[in-house]
Order: sequence, then structure tokens, then C-alpha cells
Amino acid sequence: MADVVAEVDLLVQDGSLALAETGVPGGGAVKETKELRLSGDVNDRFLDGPACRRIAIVDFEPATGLPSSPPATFTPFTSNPRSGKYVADGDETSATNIAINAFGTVFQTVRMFEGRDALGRRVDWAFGSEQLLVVPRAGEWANAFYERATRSLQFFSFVGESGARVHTALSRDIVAHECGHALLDAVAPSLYDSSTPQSVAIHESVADLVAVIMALDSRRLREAVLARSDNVLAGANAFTAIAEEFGMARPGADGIARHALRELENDETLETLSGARPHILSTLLSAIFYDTLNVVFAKLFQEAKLPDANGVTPTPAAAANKALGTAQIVFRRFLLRGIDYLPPGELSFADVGRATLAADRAARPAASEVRENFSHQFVKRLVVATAQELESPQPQSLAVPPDQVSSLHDSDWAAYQYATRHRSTLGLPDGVSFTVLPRVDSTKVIGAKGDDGVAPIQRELIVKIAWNDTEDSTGTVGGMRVVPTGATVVLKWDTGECLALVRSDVTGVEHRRDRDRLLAQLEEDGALATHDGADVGESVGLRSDGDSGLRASHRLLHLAGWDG
Amino acid sequence: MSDLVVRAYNVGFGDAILVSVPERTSRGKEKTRHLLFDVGNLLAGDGNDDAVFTGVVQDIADRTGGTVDLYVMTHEHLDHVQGLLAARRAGVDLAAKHAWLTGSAHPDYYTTHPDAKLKKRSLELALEDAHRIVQTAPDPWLEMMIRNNSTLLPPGALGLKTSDYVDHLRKIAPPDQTHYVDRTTDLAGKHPFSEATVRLLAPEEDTSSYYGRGGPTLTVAEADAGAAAATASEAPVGLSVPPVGVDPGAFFDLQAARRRNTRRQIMEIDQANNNTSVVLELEWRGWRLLFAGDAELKSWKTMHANGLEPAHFVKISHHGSHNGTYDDLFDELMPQQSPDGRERHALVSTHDGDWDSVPDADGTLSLYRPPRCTLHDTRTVARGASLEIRFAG
Repeated sequence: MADVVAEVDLLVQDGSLALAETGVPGGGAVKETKELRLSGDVNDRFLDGPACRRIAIVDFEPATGLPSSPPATFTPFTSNPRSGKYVADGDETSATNIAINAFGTVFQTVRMFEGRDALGRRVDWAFGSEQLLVVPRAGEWANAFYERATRSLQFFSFVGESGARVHTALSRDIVAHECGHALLDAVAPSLYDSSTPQSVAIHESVADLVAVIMALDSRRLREAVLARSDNVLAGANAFTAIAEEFGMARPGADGIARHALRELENDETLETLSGARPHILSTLLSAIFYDTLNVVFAKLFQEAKLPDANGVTPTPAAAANKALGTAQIVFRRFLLRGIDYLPPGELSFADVGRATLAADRAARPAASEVRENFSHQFVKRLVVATAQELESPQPQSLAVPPDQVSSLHDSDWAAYQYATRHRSTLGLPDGVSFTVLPRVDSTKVIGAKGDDGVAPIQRELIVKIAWNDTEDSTGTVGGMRVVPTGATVVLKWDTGECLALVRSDVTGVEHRRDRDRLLAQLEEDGALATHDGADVGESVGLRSDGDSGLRASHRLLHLAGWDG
Repeated sequence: MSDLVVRAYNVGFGDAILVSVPERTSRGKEKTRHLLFDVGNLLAGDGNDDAVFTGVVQDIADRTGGTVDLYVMTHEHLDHVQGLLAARRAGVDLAAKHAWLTGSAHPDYYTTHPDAKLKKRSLELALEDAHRIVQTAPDPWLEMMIRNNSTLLPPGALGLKTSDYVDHLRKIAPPDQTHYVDRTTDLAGKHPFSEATVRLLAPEEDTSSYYGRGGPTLTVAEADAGAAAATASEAPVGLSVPPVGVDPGAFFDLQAARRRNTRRQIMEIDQANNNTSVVLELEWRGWRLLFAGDAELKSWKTMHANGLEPAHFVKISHHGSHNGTYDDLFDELMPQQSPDGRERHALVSTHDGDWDSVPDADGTLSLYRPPRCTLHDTRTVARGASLEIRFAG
């Protein structure tokens, strides 16, 4: 069965701002045509909405708040009626255009996340059903969010300081960012109910970085940014300024106009951000990754500037564009594969570092230069004292015979036997019960295409084991707090050898102190749901009377949430 | 010497409290000043009974000669404002020499307070959303909340001229003696008392602090034409089934969540309105009486920050709801032992069967029990009758 395609025109960045000063022709609300592609699945197709099996637009009429008919029509091609296009109209802010832009950007973000240059597998949404709803006109609010309970991404609109209405669904950054939350929730669902500030911040950082990757995915935007920044990525530019239009439309809490919601390039350290709220804290981890992107790009740019086999030296612009195109692929693999290696439970920034390094080592054992720079950033920014703290073992005692890899994937019994047998190696405390999560089968591209046009791939089995630690909490709530924790084992499918063992480290005194502080901040701000009203289950609150860990702390990260 | 008398009427779910304060005149004689709080009841359930106001207001008029010295409208909830106009329509009129209305009821308040205006606008949209929801599917709780907060709805919605009730109260006293008050208001010359002293503990001048961070509304601000149309009697129609290809369960769950969010918003509107209550402290011959309207926790916290004094009498806020008494501050307001050995009293003006948790008999009302104080309850007297609490002069 051939792939099914839908053509759409998507905004390159925001509806009005990003390319305005770049000198690139057509600066302003620039669009580019994209092909949305469904693999040859006989049970999936594009429908009015837009909708397909895994993503669907649900639109609401702004005047009444009631659900409306699908705003965009799928027009089949005459030659191949399963494929076709969603045709935009002339009004940039029409229901049709907003819906197409939101759907197309979500679709492309999911495709990017699951492609063989990233996770190399399809993810299952954390809410347990197959379709993610996208609400492009959810109502009036300066906000957008992913919400597991309603299986949806919701994009609101508001009137900005200039008096113009801002539709968050028209911002490629915001849509990709919120979709990033949904995708991370699919891969690391335990982060949704985190009590550790760094854990909450990881969600935000990854969502920001997914937005960066989606920006890098646009050739037009790459060209524009390189032209504006004289072929360097350092300094403020369209990639570091997440949600540019949104940020300009909404002054910061101090009333001072801001350039964007968060600048990803910064010199913060864990010390300078001590006590910061998760939104702000996230910029530290984002900056570490962004610096890595810079390093990758700079190296590739130097190589791209050299004469080719015919002795022709490319122009700096051509070399930079080529280098950045490649850098985004390298960076995408680096970031997202690390996400797939994250242990279950609460996590620290150092855990992200460990998982990222382990995943990169598993795919590119020889390419240590980027990893060394990445580790150095963690040390420089005082996340860890030494780079050695970010190393994770590859204990071959965890290896299995090649013929047992499949059964370890398919059989819960085999998986629990495996975890029980390796309790000590995994770091499972004696007497503590544990859960082995559904195993993951992932096939990833691990190198450049060869002369035969085929890129090397690696199939991996990812096994995650989760258990709970407990601690006493302070604050007016007090009492006991459950701290979910865990480990990830990655085996090479073909050989059964152990590629990585990544254990989380969130039970230390500093993390407990941070959890206490976050709880105290929420109490002080009155941000914890009480049982006064209905639906406390959808609000940030305590997990239960006997557990002062947080529930739904992810809601603190709504685009303009706790931090305003 | 005459006693100061607090007289509380059973008007169903609402407040109607007359305080008669004997004062010595400069000639050494005694003259009683009458202070009236609110008069209204809830527009839902058994607690709603407009007929009760005729007798109640007639009794007040008989005791005051048809004019109270000071009328206080604590806040713009119908269970506090509708009684005087309802009685007037039945032929019983009552006037006032001075009238105090909560500051945010000033007709120009939202032009001079942009922050509050922004938050109010968001809540107005939520209220309109809620109105459409109850038009689509019956929801008694939501309908009652909409009616109680309907000063935010456009004129004509619900078939009520909601603002008429407040407008009537704007006119019961002479214009130059009608004041919109808050904690910062200079009260000199604005009240009739010469011996008693009064102090306002709430509301704050900028009421935006009583609102939360805001939240989403289902409709957008510019769609006023559609929103206005939706307030008409005919409910707008949306898709009743999900579009082809959309997961039906997710579609209906999403709509349910949107409705729940609107209910949360309405609850926030209600709380914010309660927190705009005028809270008045009256001191008279060593007695300190506190009339708290429907102030909720946010207002109590602010009052605490500004200085709360122990009282001999407390009109229990918000009809005995758990959110009208701040447990953590209770000892500050009414210490275990009376600081000066005087007796202490509390009054709850409430009604059963309208709200699940109001009054909160096992929690809030249990605080106001002997030996700390004597609890007086409007439910102990017949509908339209009053109870008296006396303070010796």
C-alpha cells in the first residue's frame, strides 16, 4: 500500500514577525508547502477537519464556544483520491487557516519525533487512546497547553498589547512546543506528576527544544536566520527566541516588554538559578543543549567550507545552510534518543545528561567530541561536580542471548524474571516491589548514507523498571512523600549485548530540599488545589492525603501558567 | 440606658440585619441610630421568597420611621441586594440618610481600575458561557450561581433587570450621602454616628487582588455580537455528534472538561464578589462588633495583614460556609478567653437545603459555641420574624 499524502501550506514561524527583518523575500507571514505523509496503512486516511487516525482538529465557534463543523476540507487528487490537499483561504486568521496550520505543524512534529532520525518508533499517547485532539480556537486566554485528561492540545487567542489579536495556533513555535509536551508525556509519563523542580523543568526544556528542532526543519527559516546572523547561531535569533510573537504581545511580569517567552541561550548555572521556578529553571537545561547545537554546527560549518572533490569552494551561505541542515539531524538524534533512554520516575538534569550521553554512545561510540563538550557544559553550569558523574555503565552481566531478546520484549513474565535476576545491578533496593514497563522496540538510523544510498540502522530493546522511594517532607503539609524512581536498560536487538544502563538519582538531600521548596512555594501562592471545588483531579495538588508528592504538576508549565 | 440591639431577620438564604445604636446627644439625651445591612435572598430553591421582604421591610420601617440612618450594601450578590426594591414594588418603601455601597459597585469603577476591568471582562465571558450551558442542558447549581452573580450579565439576560436592584440602592439616600466605600475611604462626615466609631476592614480599593490568575473562557472577547445573541432565550446550537474521524469519547470528554472549567470560573466569580464585601467594625461603649458580609479567605487574609482585633460580636461571614471563616485566624478574632471578660455573640444568617456545605454545621458553626460565644441562628425564628441580640450600654 502506497503512502497517503496531504499537501498543506504551513507558516514558517509566527503569523507576522519572524522573517520581517531578515531581508528574505516575502518576509512576514511566510508559508511553505509541506507534504504530510501517512505510511501505507489501509486503515488511516486524511479527512475533513483536518483529521487522521492519530491527530484530529476539533474546532469551537468563538462566539458561542460550541463545537463547529470541520473548518478545513480535504480535497482529493483526481489521479489518486486517497491523497489530496487541504486548501487554505485568503484570510490568514480564518478558522480554516488556523486549523490547517495547527494540524500540519502537529503532524510534522510527531513525524519528526518518531522518525528513524529520532526515536525510530511510534509512541503511544500517555492518555491511553489513539487520537490526540487539537483545539485551534479554544477560547480567550493568553495561553496554550497540552492536557492529558482531555487528550488534547488547546490553543487560545488573546488581544496583545498592540491591540492585535494573537492566535497561538498560528505560531509554529507554540504548536510544536505543546506537541512536544504531548510527545514527551508519551515517552516519560511519570514526569507529568513530578515533585522535583528539575523534573518539571525537563518537560519545559524538551518542549522548547522540540520547537527549536521544528524551526530548524524549515529551510526557509534556516536561510533567514543564517542571513540575519552572518552564519552563526550564537546570539539572539529566531531559534533561541521561543514564541516570539507571543512574547512580544505580552509584557513580562515586571511590565517590561520582552522579546520572547524564554531565551534559550544564556550563561545561567544551577547556582544562579537556585530556587527558580520550573519555567525559568528549564532555560538552564535548554541552554546546555543549545550550546551543543552550536558546537555541532560550528564543526560542520568548518568542514562544509572546504573545497569539494572538484575543488570548488562553496559560498559561506551555502556552506552554512548545508551545515545547519546536517546539524539539525545530528542534534535531533542527540536530544530525542536521550529522552528515550530516560529512566522512569522523577528525574534530575544530570539524569538527562546521563541518558543523552548513553544514547549517543550507543549509536555513535566513536564520536566522543560532542559528548565531551556536552559533559563540560554540565560541569561548567554546576549541575554536576565532575564529568564522571554523568557516565553510565554498560554492564555485560545484563546482556542476554540474542534468541531471548524477543521474549524479553513480548513476555511480561520474562521481563520480570530478568529484572528480578538483576536486582542488584539495576540498583533495586531489597524488598521493594517494582514494575517493568512495556518494552520498547526501536530501530534508528545511526550514521550517514553510504555509497549504496542506505543508512546504517540499529535495532534496540529498551527496558524500563520503576519503583518507589519514600521520604519525609516538610512544610505545612508535611508527612510522607513518594519519590518514583527507576532504571533503563538498553540491549542491542541483534546481539543481546547491553548498550546502556541508566539509573536516576533523585533521592539525594539536595533534591529533597528542592521538592520541599517547590511545595512551599505552591502553598504560599495558593496554587495547590483544595477540595473546595469540583475536578481537583485536573489541578495541581497533592497526590493523596498520605503522599505529599505532587499530582498534575505539569499544569504549572502551561505556556503562561504559574509564572504568568 | 438602652441596649444596642442587633436584629437579624429570617429572610431565607440571605441577610437582613438591623443594628440599633443608642447614642447620647450633645444635650445629654439619647437618640437611636439605625444601621441596616443588605436585605436580600437567593434566587433559587426554598430560600428564595420575595414575599418575605414586604413584612420584613415594613417592620424595619416601623422601627426606624421609614428612614434608616445608614444603609450598607456589602456586595453585589442578589441574596444581599434585592429585598428593598422587591418590598418597594409591594408598596413598602424604605429610605436612608446615608448609604454605603461596596467600592467596586461605583458606576465608573472599572474605567478607573483597568486591572480589575480586565479580570472582570474575562469573568463576564465565563458567565456568558455558563449561561449558554444552562440553556443547552439544565444545571440547577450553575443556574443559581449565574443568577446570584448576574450583575455581570448583559441587561435583559435571564429576563431580569439585575442592575435594577443595585440601582435602587444607589438612590435610597441623597446623592451627596451615597458613598462607594473601601478600606481606604475617609469616613468622616459619611455616617451618622457621634458616639459609636466605625472602621472599614474591607474591601481593598483595588479588587483585582480578589480574583485568581484568570483562566480560559470558551468564547472570545470580540465575539460580542454572538455572545449577546446567546443571552437571548433561544440557545445556540453546536454539533451534537463528533465530526467524522474524531474519537467520540475524546470529543465528549473535551466538551465536559470545558463545561467543568466554566463552573470553576463561575465559582471564582462568586468568591471574588464575596470578597468585595464591606466589612465594618463598630465600637460602642466598649463593645466591638464585626459585620463581615460574605468575606471569604482572601479578604480575611488581607484583613489580618492590616490588623484584626478581637470582637464581642461576629456576623458570621457567608452564611456559615466553611470558606467564610478563616480557621487559622479564628483565635485572633475570638480568643478562647474573652480579653475583657465580656460575653460574646455570633450570628449566622442562613438557610438549609440550598448548598451542600452551607451552613457548615460540623466545621465552621462548631467554632462559634460556648464557652467561646453564644451562637444565634436565623433558622430558629419563623420566616419573616427576627431574633435580637442585646449589648448593654
